[in-house]
Amino acid sequence: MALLDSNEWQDLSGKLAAASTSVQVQELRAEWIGRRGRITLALKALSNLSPEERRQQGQVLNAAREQATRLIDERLEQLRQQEEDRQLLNERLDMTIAGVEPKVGLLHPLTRVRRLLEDLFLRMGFSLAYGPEIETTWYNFEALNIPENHPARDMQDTFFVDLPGMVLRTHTSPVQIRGMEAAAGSLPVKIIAPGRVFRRDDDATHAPMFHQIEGLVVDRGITLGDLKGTLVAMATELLGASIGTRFRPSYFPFTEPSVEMDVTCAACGGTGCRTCKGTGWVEILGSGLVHPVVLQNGGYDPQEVSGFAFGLGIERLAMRIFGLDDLRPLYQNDLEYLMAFDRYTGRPML
Amino acid sequence: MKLSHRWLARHLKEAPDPEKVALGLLQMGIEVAAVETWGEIYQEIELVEVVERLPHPHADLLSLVTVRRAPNDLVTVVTGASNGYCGDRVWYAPPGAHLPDGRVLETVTMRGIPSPGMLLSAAELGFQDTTGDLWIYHGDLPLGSRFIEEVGGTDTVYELELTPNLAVFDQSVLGIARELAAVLKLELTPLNAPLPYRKDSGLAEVKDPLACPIYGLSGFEIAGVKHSPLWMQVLLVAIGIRVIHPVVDVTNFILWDLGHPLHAFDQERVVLPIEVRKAFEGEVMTLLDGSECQLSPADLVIADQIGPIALAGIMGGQRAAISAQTRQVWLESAYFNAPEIFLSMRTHRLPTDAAVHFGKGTDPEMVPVAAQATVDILRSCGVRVNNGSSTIIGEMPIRRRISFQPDRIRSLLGVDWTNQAIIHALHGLRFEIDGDWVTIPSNRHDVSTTEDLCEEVARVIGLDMISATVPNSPNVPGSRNDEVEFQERLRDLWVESGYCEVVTRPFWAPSRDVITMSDVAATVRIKNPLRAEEEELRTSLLPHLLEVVGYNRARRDQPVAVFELAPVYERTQNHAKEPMQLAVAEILDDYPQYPKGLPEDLAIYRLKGALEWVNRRLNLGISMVTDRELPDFMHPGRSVSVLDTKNRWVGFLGELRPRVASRYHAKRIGVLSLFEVYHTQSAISGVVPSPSRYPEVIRDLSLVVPETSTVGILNGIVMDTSLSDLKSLRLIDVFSGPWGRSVTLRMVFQSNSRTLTDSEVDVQLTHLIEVLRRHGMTMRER
Repeated sequence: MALLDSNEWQDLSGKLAAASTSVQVQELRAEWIGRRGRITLALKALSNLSPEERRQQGQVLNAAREQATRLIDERLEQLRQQEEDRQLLNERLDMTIAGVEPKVGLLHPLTRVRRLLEDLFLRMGFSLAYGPEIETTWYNFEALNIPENHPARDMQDTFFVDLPGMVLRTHTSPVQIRGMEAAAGSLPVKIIAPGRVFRRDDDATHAPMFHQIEGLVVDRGITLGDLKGTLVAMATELLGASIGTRFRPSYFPFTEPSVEMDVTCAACGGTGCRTCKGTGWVEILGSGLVHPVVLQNGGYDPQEVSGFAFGLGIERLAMRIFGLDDLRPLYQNDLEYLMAFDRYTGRPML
Repeated sequence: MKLSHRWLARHLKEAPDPEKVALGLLQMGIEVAAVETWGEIYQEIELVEVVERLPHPHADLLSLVTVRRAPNDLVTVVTGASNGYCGDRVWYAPPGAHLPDGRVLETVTMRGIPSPGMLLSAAELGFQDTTGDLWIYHGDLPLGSRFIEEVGGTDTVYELELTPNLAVFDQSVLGIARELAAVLKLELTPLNAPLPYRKDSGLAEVKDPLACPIYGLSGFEIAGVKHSPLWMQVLLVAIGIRVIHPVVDVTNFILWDLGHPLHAFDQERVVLPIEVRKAFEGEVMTLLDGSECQLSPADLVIADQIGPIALAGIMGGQRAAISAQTRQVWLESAYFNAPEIFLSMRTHRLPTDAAVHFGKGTDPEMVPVAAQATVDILRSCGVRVNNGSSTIIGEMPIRRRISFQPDRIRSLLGVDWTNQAIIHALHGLRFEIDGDWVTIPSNRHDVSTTEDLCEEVARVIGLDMISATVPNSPNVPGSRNDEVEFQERLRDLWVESGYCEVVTRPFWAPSRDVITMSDVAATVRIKNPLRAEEEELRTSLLPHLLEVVGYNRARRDQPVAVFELAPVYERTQNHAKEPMQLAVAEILDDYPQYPKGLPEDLAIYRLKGALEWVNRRLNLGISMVTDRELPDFMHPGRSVSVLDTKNRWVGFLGELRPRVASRYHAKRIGVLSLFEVYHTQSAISGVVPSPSRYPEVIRDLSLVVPETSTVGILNGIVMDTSLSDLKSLRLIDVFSGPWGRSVTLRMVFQSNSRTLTDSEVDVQLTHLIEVLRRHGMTMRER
């Protein structure tokens, strides 16, 4: 029995390459390594040889059989792959078509800004407190040191309702009194009160209903320095470490002394522009040490404790964060507008 | 309030530059709303000399006046003025020049003769008019000088915004100068001496000394010059006040200079004695502006023996007003009780300059000072003033004193400033410290406590000098209450379910109703709504949400799925409740898109599914039933009532009637309205089962059910049969054929303790099929 020469191998390789179906390959398998295949027969014929020759030829033939098996299996795998590709390409999709996005809604931008503030103050140890929107004039005015005929009542144009002694609250400050009452003399009182407030005003920067967050801290030894420290921490957290802050004396009947906080103008970065009237600063909130009358009305002795309070407009902050110059669309609920807030807006992450 | 830098400089020995002034104002809490330069237009106005005057060839009333401009330029202009002859020096505005009234001059042709520019009268320059003719210049300026030199150069004018507390003492140039002197450590120019009032009897009587603690009246004669001095005119014009007549101009000047309003009466029209009293019921007077004022006993008036001649501290009456013919004047300088004037001002809606000063509070010590200042100015400008009789009624109030507590000031501000620094700051604002006592300046009605002093000290030393610290209260973690936490989760779940949160205003009006909610609570009405369609507070959220749907639908063909969680307002007699409601609305109409979504006809299942998901996630324990009455705007075949764990009706879900939906530009709208949101939450606490290690056995069961039956009934029967190893039950197909309604359920069996065999499952199924047969439900053949 002659050794398989290279011509015979070329014959097998050529035929495998020419085979275009697995059936043809199986035929070749039978021809070469099947029961009556050429290599199989040659192996059977070995028994006629001397042990020496049998061992030599046997090694060669077994190697040949392994190689033939490998060539055939490789070709079969190749053909199987080609057939699968053909099938899969038949179910080809136009992958340039836009995907079906998960159908989720979006929180209103004011809710997102409110939560941002709430989370920030919660981290600073403030608890949330609430009060009614239809409020008594006592809580809305008198308790806050704004008696009848006080000039400050002119500052806030009030909506009156047909319930005796009630108004739509003009600020979240009544919750200062309610919060102190709820604390019932315990210390510290450390609350923020987010909520809707109402003023009789309607233009690009004033809405008849808008949202405020009130803050109140009452304890022994609270100082104006503490107010500054707390509010600067808040501004830094909200608007970034590079934000500049400054405090100016101001006036609110329920705080004494009263101060307003400005932050560097977002539009110009502090160099002065139209938005900030050339000053480089924009007002962000009003605050001050709680007026002794207010502490008293909340059930605390101003000789024993002191406190600070602040109030900021959520809309105003939203306008700053999202770069808006008109707050009316926030209430028009045009979904195209509201859904435009789905984009990442930089810092703070909303 | 407007502030002229030039005017300010009159009160300070060394006036700081305008930038420094602005910084000082900022530190004191006085907001500068705007800064402008006054007088720039006067750069363009030239002093010229008339060299020739000829009649206009075609007009009797016009003349051709040739003037010499420096150095030797001649210009001929047409003028209608009757003065301006050779040698007169007049003010000339060349073409391109701007006038105070906004006009820009150009060359115009008047009756055939071109006239480049214009010769000006005083009124045209914005100053006190004399005859309407040209303003002849008698001063020393050389030819070609600009008018701006005559008025002392340009001026910086600040628009200040004063908070109500600062308005008590800062509504004057003196007030601002005092603030700046304190913060910038400057010296003030001393004020003039007070008027030495005589105590002539029979001139006046104060019937209400509480409302008018001090009343000064001084008489004098005026004669001679009819013009206010130019320096005073310039200051008044710079802050936008019209100059009219020396007596009027002086009182205006004093008002803004010292913050003390004065009033002048024509002596010949007053029948003495003057009475300061409350008005009688029904009394009427005609004010200076010609309006009729209906008085009441709440109003303080200045009256003579005939009747009221002024609404005290607010506005004079016409009867005794100063006129061009006035020769004898009564000058009133008084101190009124601020709240009374403020009330009258508000009642009569007369926020005059005088009223906004008296109404905030004035300085009693200014009564004689302001009166003397008036006389001084009139004298200095050549008006002959012969002092006549005068009187002052009432005593100067004693300055208030409070205790001086520097330790408390330090502890409130959180600073370690020395006593000396604190005293120095207070001194700057004219507070006097004497041991343990602080004497408050007579104009500082706003200061009465140590907290007030804190503000003063902080303003003068500067808020920037207070270090930022952190409260050293014990650290307590912040918290939200459960109800609010629940609401936030509810919002998140609806957002996750594909609904967009909206925020609507709670104002409503019945005129906006398209749907009518049954048994709504009584409404709270707004007494002063901004508009008629916002005259009450809503009792339901759904109508607002439907308006949002309609608003969006009218703009574009896009899916709309929105929700709002907000309070509504219900009244019970004289009280209001603000329960939270949830409303969801969604357009169900097919929307052209690829690939297609849920068909329009089944889209309501999306909303229903969302509620079921929310129900499970929040353990609401609500159920949905079809056997309760629904609002009549709801689709009777596609709606359910929502019940809480106690079977109370807490809302409804379903489609609007298409006829109602069409009002919002949609064919089909799905809605959910949920009241008493929080209290629907049940106390059920769930335990999460451990996963089974054994395989599932799945069986699909296709049944033919009676047309009157529902999937709900079928599910109920299956669950009631209590198959021991049934893990889940899912609807996988529903359709109707000529033989009835077919329902296919996929049932998944699984045990926690062993592998189920087919035969075990089949035994359970056989039992179930037998039970179903008794309910008229049979296996589908094919």
